[in-house]
Amino acid sequence: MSGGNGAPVIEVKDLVSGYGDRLVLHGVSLAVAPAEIHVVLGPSGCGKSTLLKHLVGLLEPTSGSIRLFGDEIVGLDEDALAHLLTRIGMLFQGGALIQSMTVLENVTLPLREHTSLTPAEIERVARMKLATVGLGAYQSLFPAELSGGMRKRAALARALALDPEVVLYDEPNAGLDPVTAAGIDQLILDVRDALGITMVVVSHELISIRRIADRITMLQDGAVVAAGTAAELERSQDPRIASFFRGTLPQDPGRERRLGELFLD
Amino acid sequence: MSSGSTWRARSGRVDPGGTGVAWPPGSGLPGRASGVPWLLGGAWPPGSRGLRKWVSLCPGIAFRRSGQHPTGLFSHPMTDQELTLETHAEGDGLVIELGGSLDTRTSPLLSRELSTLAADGARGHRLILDLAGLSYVDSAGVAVILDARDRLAREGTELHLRRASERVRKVFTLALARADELQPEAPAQFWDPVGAAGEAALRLQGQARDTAVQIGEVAHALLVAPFRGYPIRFADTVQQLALIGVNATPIVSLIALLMGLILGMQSAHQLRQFGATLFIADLVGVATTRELGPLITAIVVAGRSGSAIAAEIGTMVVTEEIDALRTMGLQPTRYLFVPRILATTLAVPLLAVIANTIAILGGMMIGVVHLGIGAQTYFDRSVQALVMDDVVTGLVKAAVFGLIIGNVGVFEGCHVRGGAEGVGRATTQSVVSSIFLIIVADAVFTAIFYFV
Repeated sequence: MSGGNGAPVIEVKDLVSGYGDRLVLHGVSLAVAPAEIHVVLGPSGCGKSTLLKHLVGLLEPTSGSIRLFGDEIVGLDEDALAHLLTRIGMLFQGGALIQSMTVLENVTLPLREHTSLTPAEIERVARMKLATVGLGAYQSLFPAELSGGMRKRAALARALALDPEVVLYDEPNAGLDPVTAAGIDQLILDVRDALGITMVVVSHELISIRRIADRITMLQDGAVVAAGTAAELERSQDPRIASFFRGTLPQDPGRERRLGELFLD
Repeated sequence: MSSGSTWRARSGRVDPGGTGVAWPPGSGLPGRASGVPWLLGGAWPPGSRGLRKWVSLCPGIAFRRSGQHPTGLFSHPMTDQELTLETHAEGDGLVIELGGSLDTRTSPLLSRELSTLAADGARGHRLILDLAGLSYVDSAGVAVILDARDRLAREGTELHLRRASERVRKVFTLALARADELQPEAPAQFWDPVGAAGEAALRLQGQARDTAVQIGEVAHALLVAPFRGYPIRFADTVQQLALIGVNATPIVSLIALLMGLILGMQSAHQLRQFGATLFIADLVGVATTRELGPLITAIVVAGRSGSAIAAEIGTMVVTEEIDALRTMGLQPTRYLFVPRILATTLAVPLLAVIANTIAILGGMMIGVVHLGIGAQTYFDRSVQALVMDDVVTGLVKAAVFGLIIGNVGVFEGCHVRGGAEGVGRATTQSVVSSIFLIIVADAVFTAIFYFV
C-alpha cells in the first residue's frame, strides 16, 4: 500500500546544514505524503540522523526550507515551534526516556503538559499506550531497568501519547535481535494502519526496510542519490544503490597500487 | 631456528662477509650507542618513544629466546618465535632477510636495525626486506615497516619487500585496504602564541555569546513568558527548593556554627589585648551578616547543588533527554532551567539567614563560656552593633550568589561534550566557575557598598 494523496505533510527543500565548517547535508529535498511510511536510508554517517533532527527544529539549517503541515519551521520562534511539535512524536535511537521517571511517568509527561485531562484519565491513556507496545506489565520500572528493545517500545508509547499526526523514528531496529526488530516493525505497521499516522523512519536495516517502506529516500554523503519504492531501488543499476541493496563492498582501486609500490614481486 | 639466529648488521659499516654476532650478544649490542636510534626509533609503537626505550633497555625481557614470556604480556601461540635478521649487499643495495616472527614483541629489533642502517648512510641505496623466511607478521610489524619506508623515503632511500608468503602478504593487504581514506598525519605542532591567543579569543567569544543567550532565555522565561500564558513552574521550583535549600540546612548550620566559634576565638584573643572583649559581639555580628554568612553558604550550595545541577543537565544532554523534551514541545529553559535557577536564587539567601543566626550563636558561645560575657549582654551588644543595612546587603549578595550558582550549573550542564567524562568535567568546572564568579561578585559589591 502506498501513501495517500494530498499535500505533503513534510516537505524539505534544498536543506544545507553542517557542524562548524563541516557540511553534513548538501541540498537535500524530500516530501512525505500523508499516512506514508517514508524510509530515509543510507550508510552510516551520511546525514540521516541530522536530517531527522532538522525536521523537529533541533538543529538550525544553514539554508533551505522545512515545512511541517504546510508551515515553515526554519526561523520559527520557540513557542510556535513547541506548539507545532505537539503534533509530532519522535523516537530517539536510544529511546531518550527521562531517567529519573518511571516508564508510566515518561508516557504521561506529554499528556500532563499539553492536555487538560484529569490525572486518572491521563493514566488510563498512558496505560493504554503501554499495553499497545506490550509493556503493560512494566509501567513502574525505571528506564535503566529495561532492555534496549523495551526502552525503544516505551519511547514509542511516549511518542504516541498525544496521538500525533507524524512519528519520526531514528533507527528503531538498531542493535535489536531479529525477533524484537520484527516486533517493532509490526508495531510500526499496525500503528500506521490503525491511526493513519505519517511516519519517517531512518534506518539501514534492509530486512526492516523491505517490510515497512512505502517510499524510500536514499542519502549518501549528505545528498539524495535515489528516491522511490523499495522495488524500484532494488532494480536500480546505479552502483551506489546496488552496493547498498546487495551488500557489496565499495571498490578500493588504490589497494593494488599501494601493494605494488611496496612489494617487488 | 631460534638458536641459530644471527646478527650481522653493524654500526659503522655493513659486513657482507658475515662475521656474525649472535643475538642477543648480552647487554652490549654492537654499536647501538653510536647509532642514531631516534632517527627511526619512534617507530614502535607509533608516537611512544618512552615505551620503546623501555623495551630497548630490557632486551632480556623483550627478546627472550625461548619459552613463555615471563609476564605473558605478549604471549601468543603464533608469535612465540624469534625474529632473525641477516643483512647482505646485493647490487647497489642492501637486503635484510627476515626470518621467524615479526610481531609486537620482536618488531623493535627490526625498527632499531633499520634506524642503524639509516644512520650509517644507506642514503641513495635500495633497501630490500626479504620476507621469505618470515612465518608471521602482525600489525605492529607492518607499522614498523611502513613507518620506516616513509621515513627513509624522505631521505631518498627506497624500501621494498619481496618474497612474502601468501599469509604474510594477506596481512599487508589488510593493512593497506582503503588507506587513501586515512586522514593525513597532522604536521608537528609548534608553540604558536598568536594562533593560541586567537583560538582562546574565539572560544571566549563563543562562551560570551552562549552566556548572553542563556541569560536572555532565562530572563524571558522569568519576566516575559508568564504574562503570555506560560507560567513559571512553581511545583518544580518548590521541589528544587527542598533539594537545594531544606536538604542543605544541616550542613550549612554546622559549618556556620564552626565559623562562629572560630571567629569568636580568633577575635577574643586580639580584643583581650586591648581589654575590649565586649566588642566580640560587634565583630562577629558584622563580619557574619555582611560577608561570611552569605559567602560560606554560597560556597556550600555551589559545591552541593551547583555541581548536581551541572551533572543532572549534562547527563540529560548526553542521553538526548533534553532533545526529547524539546520534541515533546517542552522547552528545557522553562521546564528545567528556570525552576533550578529560581531555587538557588531563593535558597542561598534563606540559608544565609540561618547561617547568620547560628554563626552569631557560635560567637556568643565563645563570649559566654570563654570571656565571661553574659548572654543577655552579648545579645544586646549584637543588636546594637548591627544595622539593617548590614543584614540587607548580605542577603542581596546572597541572592546574587544564588543566581550565579544556578546559571553556572545550567550553563556547564548544557555545554557537556564527550559522554560521561564530559559530565565529570562540567561538574568540576561548575564548582570552580561558581566560586570564582561569587568571589568576583563579592569584590564588586563590597567596593560598591564601600565607596558609594
